[in-house]
Amino acid sequence: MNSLPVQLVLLIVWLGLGAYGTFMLLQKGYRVNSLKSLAYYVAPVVAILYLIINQIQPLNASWPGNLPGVVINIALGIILLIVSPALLIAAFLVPTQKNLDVSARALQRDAFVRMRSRILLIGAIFLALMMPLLALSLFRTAAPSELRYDSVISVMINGLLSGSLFALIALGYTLVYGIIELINFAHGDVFMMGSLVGFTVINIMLGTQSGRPVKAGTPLFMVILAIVLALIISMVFCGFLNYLINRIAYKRLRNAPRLAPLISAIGVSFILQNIGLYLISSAPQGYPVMFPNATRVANTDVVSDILDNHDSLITIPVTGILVIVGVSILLLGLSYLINQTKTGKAMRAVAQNREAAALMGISIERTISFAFIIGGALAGAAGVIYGVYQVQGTVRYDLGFQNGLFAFTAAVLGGIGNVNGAVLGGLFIGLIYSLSQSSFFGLSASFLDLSIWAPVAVFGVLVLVMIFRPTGILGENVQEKV
Amino acid sequence: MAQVKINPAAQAGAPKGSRPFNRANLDRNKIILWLVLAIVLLILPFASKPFFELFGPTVFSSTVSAVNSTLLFVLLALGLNIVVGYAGLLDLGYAAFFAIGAYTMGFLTARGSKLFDLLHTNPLTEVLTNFWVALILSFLMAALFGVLLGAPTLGLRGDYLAIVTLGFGEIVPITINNLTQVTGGDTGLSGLTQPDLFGYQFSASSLEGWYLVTLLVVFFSIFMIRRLVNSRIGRAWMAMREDEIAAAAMGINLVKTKLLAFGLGASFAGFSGAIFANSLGSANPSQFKFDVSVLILSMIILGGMGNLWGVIAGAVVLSMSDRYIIPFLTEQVRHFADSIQLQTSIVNGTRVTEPSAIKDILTNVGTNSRLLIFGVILVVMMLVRPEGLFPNSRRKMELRAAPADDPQALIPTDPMTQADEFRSINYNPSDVTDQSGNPDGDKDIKA
Amino acid sequence: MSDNLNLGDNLLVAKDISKNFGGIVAVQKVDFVIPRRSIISLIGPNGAGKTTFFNLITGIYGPSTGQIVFDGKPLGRLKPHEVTQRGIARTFQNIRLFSNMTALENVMVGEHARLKAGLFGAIFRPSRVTSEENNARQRALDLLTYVGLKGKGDEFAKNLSYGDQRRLEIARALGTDPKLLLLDEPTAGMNPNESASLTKLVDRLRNDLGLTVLLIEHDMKVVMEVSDRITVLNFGRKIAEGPPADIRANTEVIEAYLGKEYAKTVAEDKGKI
Repeated sequence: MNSLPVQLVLLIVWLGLGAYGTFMLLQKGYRVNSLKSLAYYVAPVVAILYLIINQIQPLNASWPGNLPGVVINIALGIILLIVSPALLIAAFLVPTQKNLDVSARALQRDAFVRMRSRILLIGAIFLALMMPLLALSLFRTAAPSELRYDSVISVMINGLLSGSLFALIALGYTLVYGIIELINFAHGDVFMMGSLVGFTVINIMLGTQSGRPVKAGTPLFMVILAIVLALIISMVFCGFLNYLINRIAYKRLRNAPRLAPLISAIGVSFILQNIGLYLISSAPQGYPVMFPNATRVANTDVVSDILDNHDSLITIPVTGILVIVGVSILLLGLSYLINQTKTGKAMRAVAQNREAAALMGISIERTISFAFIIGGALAGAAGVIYGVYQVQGTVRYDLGFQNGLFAFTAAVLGGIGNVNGAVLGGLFIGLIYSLSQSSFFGLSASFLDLSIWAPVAVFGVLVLVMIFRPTGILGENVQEKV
Repeated sequence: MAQVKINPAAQAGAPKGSRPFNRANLDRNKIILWLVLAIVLLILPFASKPFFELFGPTVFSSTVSAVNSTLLFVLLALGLNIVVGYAGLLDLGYAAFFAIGAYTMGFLTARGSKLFDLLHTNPLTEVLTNFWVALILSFLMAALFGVLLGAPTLGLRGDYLAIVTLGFGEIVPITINNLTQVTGGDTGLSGLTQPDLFGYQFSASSLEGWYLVTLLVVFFSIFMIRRLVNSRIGRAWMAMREDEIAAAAMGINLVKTKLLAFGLGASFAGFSGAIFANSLGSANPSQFKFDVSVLILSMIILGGMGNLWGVIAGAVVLSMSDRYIIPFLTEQVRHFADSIQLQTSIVNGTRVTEPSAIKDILTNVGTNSRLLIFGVILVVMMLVRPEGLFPNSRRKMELRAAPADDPQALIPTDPMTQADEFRSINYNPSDVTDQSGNPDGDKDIKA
Repeated sequence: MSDNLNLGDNLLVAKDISKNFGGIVAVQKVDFVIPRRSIISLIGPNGAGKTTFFNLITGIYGPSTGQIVFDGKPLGRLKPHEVTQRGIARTFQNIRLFSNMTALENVMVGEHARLKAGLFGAIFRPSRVTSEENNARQRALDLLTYVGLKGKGDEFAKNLSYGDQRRLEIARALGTDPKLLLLDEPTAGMNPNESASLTKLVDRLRNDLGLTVLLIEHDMKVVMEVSDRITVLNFGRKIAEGPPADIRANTEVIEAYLGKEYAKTVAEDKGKI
């Protein structure tokens, strides 16, 4: 099957839709339905992805015969034909808000339609991004190793793991933004300080040096104790640091123009970066390697068994378990804190309506401080877990800048001000980053070496989300309070 | 002509915009003052050369190069001030336009760049590789990118716009860095052909020429901005900054007005980027990072957003201290760090030097303190003097919440309405719903 | 006089206008005409959809259904500034002056759309631009005098008294050279004296300048005194329309304002008398 004309037609159609979306946006200005235009923009991305993947096939001469290529093309075509319409349908399902009566039923239906369309949209985007890759990678015998399904799954697992760390940082942005509508630009640097504090604690506890393995004979118990202690100290330290930042740099600016605290936050970010620089100098350092001989826990998996494949490429580092356990505990704790405790309820109340909350006897400033403390503690924990997980180059003075921006992107993607959204966005950004960083597309010619484009991919997502859906995927809470 | 009586109190605070708008009123003395200033500044480098050379052979050239970079920063600050100070749009990716200007110049004039080779072979297109033509193209290119970035983002709320521009500001240098085959990657472009004019050859060492060119551009920019601010366009910017909805209701096309500010600001950056690259003879992606954007932002905040002279002063102060004062201070710290004696002891026959954390930290302080100072400026200025050191009276009022006991504050203001007023820098649909308007309504009107 | 609805002489015709936000209907199937040189009032309890109606006319929202024709041409989905350029100007319920600009500058911003100076003109100031600016300035001063702010041109808007701010908003709207002026609760928060003088001003706007005025107002004294015709909205629907005397006697209107029970008592009282 010569698929080039088909591809070209598809590409033209999708690019046409994209152009139409742009045109609509420019024409109608503020009034364009942003979900629709998002669909218009996702469509060409899917098309380009499809094209890139198709181009791999001729690159790899070792594929036996023509059959896999044909099958892949057909499979991809089907996916594209199913997924993309789903995407568009989802986008168009947004209630058109016509002829609705003022009755409870109409309202309910309206809410239902909206919810359904949002779920569909999320699903469709996920599918559109993931399915072609997974489908392709299933042809493990024929594909080059980067394209094997198990390698893909590995990359995705790593993406989810680092994504859950982005989620922890993103929570700090979202908590603060939800309450005082401030982008706490210094938050990423609090994360950096957390990593630094944890590094110091662990080195003191275990007597290790930057980037070296722990001394032989150190009991596992000591290692875990060191990590837990580092976590606790770092959380306390960063919570306090964030509290101080709020007290010093933002509190006086509550009634100032919106941009004033943001500028102040940028200043704080620079100051923290420099403090980090003073403490560790500009050469990057790393956490000690604490789990030397267990880099992977899984050597096989269900699909490999079925395919009688005994060298699965799926690897989950032991430290990944720390990430899963640590992040889960923190998220559960946070959820309990926000939903069950009095302070958490106060936080939600203040986020909803500051004046009304104040009239109900809630201390606004205390609640704000509390949000800063929680956010800081989460960032501190993320710093330590990140260090233990990534090991190399994790203690760097500018660690917070890019990671902070990524996490902020996650928060925006999920819907800033929305706690669940932050987690979802974090996972999503982790996936995007990890996928675009891997040599997934098999194209490592210098011009198209995708790993160096990973930051651009994430910032691109940031810009696109900001433009087309500033409320994010789950964002409802951001409606400006007036 | 019915002249309005002006009471003295109001006159003191009256902005210049309300001055009658005719040439007869222009102060003749002022023009003379301007001309004298211009002539003095223009001949200064030539007149002062012998004086500087008394201090040493390189003092003159290092001074002129410091002045040149200051002038470029003045240009950048003036441009950013249009965007942030006049139109009220916080742009955190301003360095990206600087980069675009520099690289456009680089592509067009660098020997070895593909575009240069391509254009150079054809006599018709060769003219594009001429510095002066390339200068205009760089300027246009930056403006174009400004408009391209601006068009979809200008509907965003202020802080969102800031982050989008920041994202853009990150994307540009990474892209330049990554497109190795086109841009030379992290080594950048070099060997830009430098212009000659009336037999005078510009080069990386002929600093007076660059000084004159940049100075002329700065003079023209000041003239242009002063005129713009006291015009229909300047009033529209001001109105938009104060209240977008009311501005739109007065017939101001928000998109057009914002784009004009954004494009104009970007073109300033493009211009200085082009001159910057060509005067150095090279361009490199690391010169256009986020810290440059923040440096320029610090300049306009230090001087006073929205105030032309304040911004120029801020740029001069910061750029000069970046050049002279900060290196001096950090050097002192370094000397001090070097003077700390390390404890050494003999262990098993070998000399072991005890590490000293204080010495390490001080050495670091002595090497990298530049950004700290910008950070401190941003925070302290925002907390203590948000209107800058040389404030514009109007901007001062906007940036400072009126104190409660201020007799001038006739309108009852509770904290919330004040917050609203500030928020209304941004288009905010729920602001105009009446009580029946569902606050949840019309999400798709983009804030 | 105003009830003599000669269709050819209507400045604005709104047909079947609805607007809903999600499931909530703010304005529902309203037909509405504004004859030239008339003063029409729009009244109704809080939340009746009056301001939404204003926002629909001025292009801040697009109507969900229906069409608005202004001066013979449909407004369609014009943006706010385009609507203003067509000749509709408005004031705001909660004053939205440019508070850190002077009164004069506020009015000159209102003249924005009528001026032509572009980037080039603003920078190089050819004589055309200079004279345009001087005329605009003079006109702004005249407008300030007209609304009673003579001599206050150089005061910052935020330093003006509340009543003066309301007047300045009207002057600023007049700066756009409108055919139709929408006033959103112009006397809100004013004392009876200030209200009375503002009422006179509104009357003069029509008589001297030949403007058409659409007024949202809660002060019934003002409404009854100045309006040619009154339209009553309740829950987004038009429940009554007519000259002041009719509206005063309309049971449904009284019901909307004071509740059914009260309306009944009023009707019974009338019966007794």
